[in-house]
Amino acid sequence: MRLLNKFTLWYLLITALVLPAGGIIVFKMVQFEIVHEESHKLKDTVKLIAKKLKEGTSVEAIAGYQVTINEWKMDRPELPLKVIDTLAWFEPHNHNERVLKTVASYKINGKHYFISTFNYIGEPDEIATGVTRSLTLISILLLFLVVLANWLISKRILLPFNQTLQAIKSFNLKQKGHMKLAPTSTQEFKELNLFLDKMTVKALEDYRNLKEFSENASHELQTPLAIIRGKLELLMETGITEEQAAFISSIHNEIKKLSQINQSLTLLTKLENHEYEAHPINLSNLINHSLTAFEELIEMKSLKVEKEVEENVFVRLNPFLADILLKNLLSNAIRHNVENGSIKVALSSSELIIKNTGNPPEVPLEQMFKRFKKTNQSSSSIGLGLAIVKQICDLNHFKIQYTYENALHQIRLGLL
Amino acid sequence: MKILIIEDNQELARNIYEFLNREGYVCEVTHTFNHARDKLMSFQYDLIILDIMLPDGSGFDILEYIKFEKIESSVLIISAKNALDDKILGLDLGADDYLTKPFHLTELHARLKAIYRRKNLKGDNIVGFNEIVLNTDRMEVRVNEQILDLTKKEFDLLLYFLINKNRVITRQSIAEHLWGDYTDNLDNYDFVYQHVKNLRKKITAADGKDYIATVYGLGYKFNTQTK
Repeated sequence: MRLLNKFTLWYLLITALVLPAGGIIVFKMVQFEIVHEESHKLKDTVKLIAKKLKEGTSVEAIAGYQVTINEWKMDRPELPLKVIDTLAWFEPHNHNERVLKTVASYKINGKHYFISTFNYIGEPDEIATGVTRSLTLISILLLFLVVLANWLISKRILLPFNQTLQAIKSFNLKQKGHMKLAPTSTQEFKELNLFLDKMTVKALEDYRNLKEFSENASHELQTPLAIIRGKLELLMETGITEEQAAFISSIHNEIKKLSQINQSLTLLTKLENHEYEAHPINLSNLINHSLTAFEELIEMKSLKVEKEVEENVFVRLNPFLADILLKNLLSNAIRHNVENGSIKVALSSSELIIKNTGNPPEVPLEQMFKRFKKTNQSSSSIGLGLAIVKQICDLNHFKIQYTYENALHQIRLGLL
Repeated sequence: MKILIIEDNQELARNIYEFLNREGYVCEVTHTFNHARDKLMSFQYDLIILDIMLPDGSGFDILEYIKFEKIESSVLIISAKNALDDKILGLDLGADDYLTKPFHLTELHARLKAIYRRKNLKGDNIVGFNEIVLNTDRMEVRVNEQILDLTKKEFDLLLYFLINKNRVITRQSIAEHLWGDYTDNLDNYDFVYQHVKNLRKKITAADGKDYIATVYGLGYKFNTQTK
C-alpha cells in the first residue's frame, strides 16, 4: 500500500472516531443552550409581567397566547419561579411537542397572581437529526478534501522521495560517478539522500576495489605459476629419473588446475559484474565449429555424434561467452561419457539440447550448478564448468535445465 | 636471432633466458620500461618478448614507441591478463602474437619461431632435421624426398617437435599447443598419445628414423642423438 494511502486511511479512521464524539458534544451543547436560553427568556417574561402588574397594567392587557395569569387566594404561599420541561399538545401538528414552561406566583397590590408562560422548543431527536445531517455533510466534504489533498501532496511533498526511489532503482554499480539525487527541503528526505549518497559512494568504491583485486589477484597468481612451470621445464632437461618425472608430471597437472581455477574465478567475477556485452551471434555456426574442434576427442572415446542443428540460429550473447558456454557443455558431454557412448546436439531457434550417455550422477542434479560440485568428487576436474555455464545463462536470461533420464544426461537451454 | 626479454619478474625472465640461451639465441634481459627503451634505442633485436605490466610503465607504451621509432623488431606479448581487449589492443599496436601466462617454454619457443618465419620470408619456411623436411608455407612434409600424408594436427605436432628438438615436451603442452583451450576441461591426455603414435608410424613407414622417444611419465622428446 502506498505511503499516502496509509496516511489517509489512518486519518479517516481517526475522523470516523472523532466525528460521532463531536456529534454527541454538539448535540449536548445545543440542547443545553436552547433550554438554558429559553428558560432565561421565559423567566424574564414572567418577571416582566409581574412588574407590569405592579405598575398597574390590567391582567387582560397582558394575558394572551402563551401567557396565562390567574388569581390565587391570598392565603396560598407564593410559588417561587421555576421552569418545567414538559410536553404539550400542539394543535397545528396534531401531536405533542416539547414545551418549556415557567411558573410563579406573586402577591402584588393585595392580590395573588399566578403567572405562567410557555414556549415550544426543539425536541432532542430533532436536534440530533440536525447534528447528524451536518456531520454527514462535513464527512463528505472532508473525504473529498482528503482525497484531493492526498493527490496534491503526493505530487508536491513526496516528489523528492519518489525521485530518490527512481534514482535507487536505476542505480548501477558499473556506472561512473555517484548517484544524482534531487535537492529537497524536507528534513527527512535530506537525511535519506545524504545517507544514500554515502552508501552508494561506498558501494561503488567497494565494487571498484573488488574488481581491481580480482584482476590483480589473477595477474599476481599467473606470474608465479608461469615461473614454476618454466622451472619445471628446465628441471626436466637435467637428466631426471622416472620417479622424478612422475612427480614433475603431477606438479604440471596441478599447475594447470591452479591456473584454470584462477581464470575461472576471474571469469565468474567478471560475469557477476556484467562486464560482457551481448551481440547477435550465429549459434549454429559456433556449434558446428566447436564440434569440429572436439572431433579428435570424440573419436578417442569412439562416441557417436548425432547432430540436429538448425541453420542460422541467432542469439544475443557475447561471442567470448558463447564460446566458453559451448566448450564447457560439449567437453562435459565428452568427458563424462562412456566408451562407445553417444552425444546428441539439437539446436532450434527456441532451444539447445545436449544429450549424452554417461554414468548416473552421484550428487543431486540441482547441486550440479554450484561451484566446486562434481559428479565424482575425486575426479580431477576443477568443478567450475557448470557454475560458469549457469552464470552465463542467468546473465542472458536463458533457462537451463539438467535432467537424467533413461541413462541419458540432458542439458536443455531455453533460448527465448 | 637476437632477442630482448622485457619482463619485470626476474625469475620468469631468467627462465626464458635460460631456455632460449640453450637454443643458441642471443638474449638480453631488462626489467623496466625505461631500461627497455634505452636498449631499443641503442641496439637492434630480431624479436622482443614483452610483458604488459611493468613497474614504471605499460608494455603498450613500448609498442607505441616501437611503432613511432619504426623499429623493425617482432613483438611477442606475454601477459597475465587473459582479457580479450588487451589481446586486441596489443595486436592492433603491432604486436605479432599474444601469449597468456602461465605458458610452457616450449610453447613460447614455438611462437617465437612462427613469428620469425612469418617475418623472414627469405627461404626460412623450411624446418627440418636429417631426412625430415618440413615446408611451413606449403604445409608439406617430406621424409627421404617422399611426401608424407599428415593431418593438420600431425603437421603441427611434428613442427612443434622439430622446433623443440632434444627437449622434453610434456603431453600437457602438446595438448595445449594443438587444441588450445579445448583441452582445459579434460583430465587425461590419451589423445596426445594417439597422435604421436600415428605420427611416428607415418615417419617410420617412409623409412624415416624414429626420433621421437617417450619420456616415461612426462611426455616425449625429439631425440637427435639416436643411432
